[in-house]
Amino acid sequence: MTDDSQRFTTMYDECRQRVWAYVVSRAGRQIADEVVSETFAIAWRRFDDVPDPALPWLLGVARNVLRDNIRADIKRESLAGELRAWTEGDHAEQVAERLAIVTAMASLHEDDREILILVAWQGLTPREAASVVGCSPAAFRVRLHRARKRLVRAVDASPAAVSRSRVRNLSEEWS
Amino acid sequence: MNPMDQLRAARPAHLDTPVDEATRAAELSYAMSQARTGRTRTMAKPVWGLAMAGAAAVTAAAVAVAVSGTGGTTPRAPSHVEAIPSFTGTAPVVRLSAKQILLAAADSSLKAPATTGPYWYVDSVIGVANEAGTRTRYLVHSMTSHRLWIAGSPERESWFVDRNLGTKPAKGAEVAWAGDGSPTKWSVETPEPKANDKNAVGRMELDSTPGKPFGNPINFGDKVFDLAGRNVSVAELKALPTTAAALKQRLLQGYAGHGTESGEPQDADSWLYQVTSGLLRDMPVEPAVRAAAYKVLAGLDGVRSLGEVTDALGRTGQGIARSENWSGAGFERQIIIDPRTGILLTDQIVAVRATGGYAWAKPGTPIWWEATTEASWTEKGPVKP
Repeated sequence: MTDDSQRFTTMYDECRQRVWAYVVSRAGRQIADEVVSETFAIAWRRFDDVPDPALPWLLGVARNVLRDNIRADIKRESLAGELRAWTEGDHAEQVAERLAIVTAMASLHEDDREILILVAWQGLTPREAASVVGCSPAAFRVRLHRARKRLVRAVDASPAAVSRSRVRNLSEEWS
Repeated sequence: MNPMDQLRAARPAHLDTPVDEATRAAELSYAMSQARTGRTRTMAKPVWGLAMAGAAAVTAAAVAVAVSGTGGTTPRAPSHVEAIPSFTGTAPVVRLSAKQILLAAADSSLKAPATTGPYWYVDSVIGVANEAGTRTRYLVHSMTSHRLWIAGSPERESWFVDRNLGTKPAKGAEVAWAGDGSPTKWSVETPEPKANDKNAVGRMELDSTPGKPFGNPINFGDKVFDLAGRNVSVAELKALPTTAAALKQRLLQGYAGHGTESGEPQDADSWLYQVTSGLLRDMPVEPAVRAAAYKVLAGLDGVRSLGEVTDALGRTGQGIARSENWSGAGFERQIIIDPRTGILLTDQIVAVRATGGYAWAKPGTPIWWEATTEASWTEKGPVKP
């Protein structure tokens, strides 16, 4: 194996799971493999441009692939399934607090949800997350602040669970 | 707990699902099959950029493979084949091995969108190169449009329609052609190897004027393709094995030590490469069978990667080559595939060290090709001439 392919494989092994989790949390498992595969294909083509650490850059590419390469109706359907999965399961074993917050998360606008996914579920710093969504770190902090506020409001407003049909409807805001 | 901590704690567990080994292998193969950009050490270009664009003019033209199909497109059956070492060890650094590309194509085949309809429609262009000219010598390309409508049910008629698209100077040959007085008809020598004289030639008349479409029903009962030396029906194609080992075994049942179109000896790997490529090129088989077919190719000795290449219609893909030897001349059979879709764009025979009746063919000159522009199920029935 050449140096480049060795380095690329190492990067893939370090980041693939994180990129996949990002895509799944934003658009569902149904289309995740396709987006991830295309993301790493682009990463290979542009391997000389990939910074270290690579993860924020890869997430930004995945974000573009998701936006540009996947049909809106397919995205909607895939995301609806994903949001259902957040709030489904054996409710007896679900802590009420967890259910309330993922339900609130599922109800947020796509833009807010993305901001929160990057910070809370991907563990990116605001600077890194800003580079993913393509805004300044200062602007990102403002958006994060607003998203947090709306999340809290949604937790307070939401019943402990959301019906499947409601989640399906909410997911249609994506397009 | 503040909301962000709560949110962190509520992260759905399935987001941590690890990648399985098959997906990892496929994704890495696919990624590294891409051409690099923004650097000098790009994928190697083929040696044969030569002259194929003349065929681009016929992109709109038609059609596919007659019923005698898979092997019938071979100019001559090989007379013997050397043992070919694996070239992967010496391939340029950023070039994926043939095996990796073929496995990526296998993986993509499984994901290809399904098409439906009563007819399997194939549209392709077949080209043949010759050297022509009286005052000067230059390459001319003769193209034929092929269309094929294969009924999914034997209740309906299957048809083939061919059209001679005429002969024209190859791209790059225009000046020499003008120096020859810009003829529109040519009489060329064409290799017709005989058992006692491998360098024997015949004559062939070529004309720049396209012909009229010619077609007929394909009338062999329910048999619509020649696969591995046997005529098969759509139902039989649909029932082909979906693992590489079983498919290979099934195909090899048709192997009798010689080529599909002649009694000339042909070794099993060379035969299998040709037959399997033909299946991938234009036959209505299940995605899993296409995937298995690519794996059969990946398992053959002597296949090697050419990197990114351009076909006769100007389309780029990944080139896979395997050496052939027939007519006492050195050729290789190349397939150009798109590993992202699993589509086989072009199947062609390219001179490597041609001698005898093909001595005019410089290394890298495609002397025969079939470029497939469509192969899918469709609602539309035969357009009869």
